Amino acid sequence: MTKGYLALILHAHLPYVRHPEHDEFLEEHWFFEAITETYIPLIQVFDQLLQDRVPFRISMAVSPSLANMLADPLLMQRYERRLNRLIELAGREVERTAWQPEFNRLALHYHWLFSRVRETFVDRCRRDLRFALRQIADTGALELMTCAATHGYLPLMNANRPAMRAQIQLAASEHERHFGRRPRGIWLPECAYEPGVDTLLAEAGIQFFVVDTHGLLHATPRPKYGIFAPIVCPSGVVAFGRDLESSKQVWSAKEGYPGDPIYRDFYRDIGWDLDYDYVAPYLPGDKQRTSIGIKYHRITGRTDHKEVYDPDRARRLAAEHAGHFMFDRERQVEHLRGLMDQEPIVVAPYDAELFGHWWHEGPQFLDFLLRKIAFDQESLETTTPIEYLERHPRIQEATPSTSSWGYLGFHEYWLNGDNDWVYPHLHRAAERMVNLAERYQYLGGEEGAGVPPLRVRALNQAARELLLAQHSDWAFIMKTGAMVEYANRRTWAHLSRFRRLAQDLEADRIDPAWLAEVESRDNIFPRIDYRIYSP
Amino acid sequence: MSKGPAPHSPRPGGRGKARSGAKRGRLPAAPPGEPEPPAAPSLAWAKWIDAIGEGDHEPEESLEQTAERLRAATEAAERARRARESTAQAAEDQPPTPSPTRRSRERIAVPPRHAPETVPGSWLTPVSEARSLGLGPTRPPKFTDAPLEPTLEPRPLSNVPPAPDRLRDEPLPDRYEDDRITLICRDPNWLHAYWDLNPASVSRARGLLDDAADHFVLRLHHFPALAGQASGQTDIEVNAAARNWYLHGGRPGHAFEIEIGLRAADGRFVPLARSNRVTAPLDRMSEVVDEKWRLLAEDAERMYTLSGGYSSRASASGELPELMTRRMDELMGSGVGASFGLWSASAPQPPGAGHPGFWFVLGTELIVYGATDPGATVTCQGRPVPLRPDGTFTLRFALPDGAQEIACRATSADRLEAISITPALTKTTTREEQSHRSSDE
Repeated sequence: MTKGYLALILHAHLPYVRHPEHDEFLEEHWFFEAITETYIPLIQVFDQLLQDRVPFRISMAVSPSLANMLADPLLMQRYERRLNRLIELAGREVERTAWQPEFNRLALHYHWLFSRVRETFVDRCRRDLRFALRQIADTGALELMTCAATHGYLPLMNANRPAMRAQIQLAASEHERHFGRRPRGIWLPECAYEPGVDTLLAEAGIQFFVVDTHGLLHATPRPKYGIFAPIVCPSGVVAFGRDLESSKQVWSAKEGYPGDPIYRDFYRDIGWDLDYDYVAPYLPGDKQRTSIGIKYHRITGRTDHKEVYDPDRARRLAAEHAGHFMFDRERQVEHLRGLMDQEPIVVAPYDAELFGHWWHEGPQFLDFLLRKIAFDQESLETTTPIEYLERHPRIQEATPSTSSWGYLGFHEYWLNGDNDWVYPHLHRAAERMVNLAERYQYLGGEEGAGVPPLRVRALNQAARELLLAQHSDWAFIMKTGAMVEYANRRTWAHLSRFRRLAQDLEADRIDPAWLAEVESRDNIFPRIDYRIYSP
Repeated sequence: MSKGPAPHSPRPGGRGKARSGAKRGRLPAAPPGEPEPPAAPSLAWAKWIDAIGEGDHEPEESLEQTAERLRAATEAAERARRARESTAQAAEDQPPTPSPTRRSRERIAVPPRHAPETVPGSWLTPVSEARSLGLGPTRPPKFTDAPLEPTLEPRPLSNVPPAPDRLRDEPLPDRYEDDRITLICRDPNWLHAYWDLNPASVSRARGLLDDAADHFVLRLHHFPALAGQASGQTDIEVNAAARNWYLHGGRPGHAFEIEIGLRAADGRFVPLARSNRVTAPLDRMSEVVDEKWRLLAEDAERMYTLSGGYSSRASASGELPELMTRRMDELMGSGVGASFGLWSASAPQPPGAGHPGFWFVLGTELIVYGATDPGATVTCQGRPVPLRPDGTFTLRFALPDGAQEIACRATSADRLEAISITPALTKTTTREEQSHRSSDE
């Protein structure tokens, strides 16, 4: 009989990267790689589980910025072009490795893998991943959650309530646009919470969110069950706490599964390894060397010498790790059940892109794990937070503590000498947006019909520019030290465009040609209404 | 991603790197004045011709069929590539338009059409000294428009110019001068303040004080979290040029406000701006117990520990709970499970580049190419070779050590004639290492 629950939560997000002004753009490949390596393999796993009638539950947050990229015809067309190029290159690899049987086998493997991704993309998803996700969600096995509109780091918005509210309200309406229903749960960007955020969630009709371990442990008053039961904020929104142990088994650099020597190495890639002239046609953008996505080696160990990857052996290991993970969760919930007067819930959130992109065998691990939990044991059941709440409506009231899942558990990674220059600009821009919205709020009457259309467009575009500048990813990149120039430019460009829009609105001298150009570039959230910023 | 001690962190300690042994990460941002590594290059590029992969494949096929199909596809791709190259070559043959910035265009992320000269002189690359101190001001970072040195010379691809940037994004204002100070709480113990003062307001304050030895001072007020605790204030002298500061609050759970002003030698203080109020989060379990839930202290401790918390000893010593520090050191990537680290914190590098010493890698490939009557059929080592329309073909093989007999055979269209050509080769590899370094180098 069921002793406790496991709630797996995958958080899928990428910043909005779309550059129609260039024919190819390096950073768009983040998105293409994520589709090929993570999103489509996950859809394949879920589909197969459903087809095999395996009972399972999983939650997945799709950030509105990612959903907008998935909905963008230009990006999806470019994705297909990229995928075709990958299949072509894998074919050339099959020929090139004819005298190296162990590589040849892998080249065939990649060719098969990419061709299958293409099949899923074209036939199953009809070139729209949202369609497939929505179908899977409709079965009840998958709970689709949302995230703040552009992954804005809410506790660093200087308590500007309308600006924070816009991130949440827009997330809810965008989720409905893409997936057909209002979101019931949200993944807060970087798991970053501060008291008061929950009230905004309540306003948007969102019922639950997740905080990091200490955010729940340090709640006021003391939570009785630690992180093994949710708490309900005074606003009525429920907070679940991240389980450290199950996170560590997957994430830990030392003990984590993805670091096993048998698994595929992330770093070795033919984009770096092979003759430049041969790979150059397949390198994105400016043809500088980078990863292409065909990788022939396994992690092997802490050495430069890497052995050749063996997919069958790695697959067996993924099954073994899934069994290990399940066994630990069983013992965990059995132990907890003895201490608690209700079934414990273990909440295990991960970046979706971990599975497949970073950890190549991750989707297989999930597949084995969900099958094993369904058939190989009895004390553990997978669930979604919503399903758990339906079964356990009695919840302790408490307010979580400010926290994030970043370095040291708070805001330091997004606020330090590398990126603190953005906040004076971001805060003032958000205030200015709120002022603009207030100024024009009643100008057009109830429906806004009285505001001249050009101004409405400028106001909406100003909102888009602010939101794009608020991506927490820019501050994150500035801190990591790689791709910094891109993050700087994006922050600067959006703030600058916002500034010009605000000035033009205030002076009533909007340049329609310029506005049209900005609209075509930064086209996220086509149905945005600037009045979400009304105070 | 390997990292040095975290800037501004009150505790030392480097970050563990990701999985494998070699150093993969980059150092934190370059020191001021040095160009950033080439980050986001892009270049307009002739349209790719999607030669293959358009058709849906039969799900079931033998390995031989797959190989066959792939060879055909490869051939088609090769044709497409050649077509592209000849187009590009034709474009190259045109007299190039005078374009003094072409080199930099090819190397820089966004074409610097938005007038680099108008880019603000002061906002991108941050300053390192404040970072290494872990507190104190950070100067507004500088925008460097120095040419970015790519790691590899990009191939000249075409003369298609980058899309002109019609947006002409303007620089951001360097200062707002709106007499404001903003306080942000970074973690239970640390605060960050930034401010922007109007010179006129500062002059007025100076006039009021009438003291040549005045100083800018941050006055941090703290307010009790619980009744019975005292409120108070601390003054911190700051450099007149500073625009922001990291401050040690050291009072988890307390609320804070900050003022900036001028202080005379005799202690008189003229405030210039006062901030919002922030509350520092707790770094331990709350003291508040909910009577309705009948929670015993030892039960609370037990659940806390089971949840991954520390021992109660750590709490008593006032340290940040062990769970936060310990796990942050162990987890991979600098962002610790934080989104997006999977891309930005883990850039692969060429094989061997992570090697601490001198290194050298070498590979060999063999090109087999030829030509015959366009209607002929050609096999190489028994496998069919796709011909280009002009009857030429190219095969490329990774060449391992050992002997290869490359039996190639062309058969005429009417199958009445055949020619076999069989190059044979043996590849051996030797490796020798020398070092003239003395051991203490």
